[in-house]
Amino acid sequence: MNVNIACHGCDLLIDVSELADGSIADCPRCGGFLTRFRIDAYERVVASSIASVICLILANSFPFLSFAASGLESVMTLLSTPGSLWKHGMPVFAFLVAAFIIIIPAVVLFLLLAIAVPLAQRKSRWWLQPAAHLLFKMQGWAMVEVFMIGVIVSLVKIMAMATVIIGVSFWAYAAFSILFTFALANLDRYQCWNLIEELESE
Amino acid sequence: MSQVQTSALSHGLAACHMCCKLAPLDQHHCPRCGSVMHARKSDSLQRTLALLVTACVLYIPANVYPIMLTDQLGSTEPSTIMGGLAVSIADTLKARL
Repeated sequence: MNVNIACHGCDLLIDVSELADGSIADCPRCGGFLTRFRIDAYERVVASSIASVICLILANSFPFLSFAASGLESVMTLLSTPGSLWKHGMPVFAFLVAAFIIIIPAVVLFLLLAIAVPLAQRKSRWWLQPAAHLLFKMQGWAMVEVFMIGVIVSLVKIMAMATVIIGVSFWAYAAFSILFTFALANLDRYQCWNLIEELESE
Repeated sequence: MSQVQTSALSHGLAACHMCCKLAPLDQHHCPRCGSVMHARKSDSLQRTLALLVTACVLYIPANVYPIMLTDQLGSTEPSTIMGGLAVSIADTLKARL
């Protein structure tokens, strides 16, 4: 008998060695998600990561929002979000915002590509283990969708006071948040580590 | 899928939080990825209860006091979480009519 996973929710031992392509294993006792097996999982990760990179570059190259109130207009870019916090004397917040919305997502994307490209080709690379370690530790700190919700919530308030023009960058960042989530969702922790181990032992 | 209705702990095993590898508990580090392993969280109910009570206490001022002060042409306007919700619902209704 091949028992090879313990449910993270209730610690039940389960055999998930013979999953068909595209199928999901849930815990038979508590219903918690265990793993999902897909033959083309890493191709999916590579595809959505590359699309995310393009959207992130676009999001940083165009205006994010423009405000017009009583004849004055101000254009805001994505990078000016931490920039204006810095100017208003909040360097710690500026650093955190820059990290959560740009720096960490960019590093996570880089790591996703560094892992998924060799795994899609079923090739072993020396950086797979350290990169996977760093990726799974960092992914919780990328707060792309949290920022998106924050922007939408504050827009409600600002729209009452000024005319808001939504820029190209806003849509690019919105697309980025969806693609980024999709890329992360396609990388299954259990399958990814199993494959890394398998490739290293060959 | 064949299954054994027993927990990993009863076999002296634990799943690594980083890489999901099942490994014997007497080793303190995961044999695959080197992460620190532990069985159950210590004092979990006590910790949960303490944090839950604190969260309940903080929930009250979080909703009673303003979360944001809007400054426009010298006049400052405070708004609470529920106030923001009311404004957006009112705006939506106004736009519909």
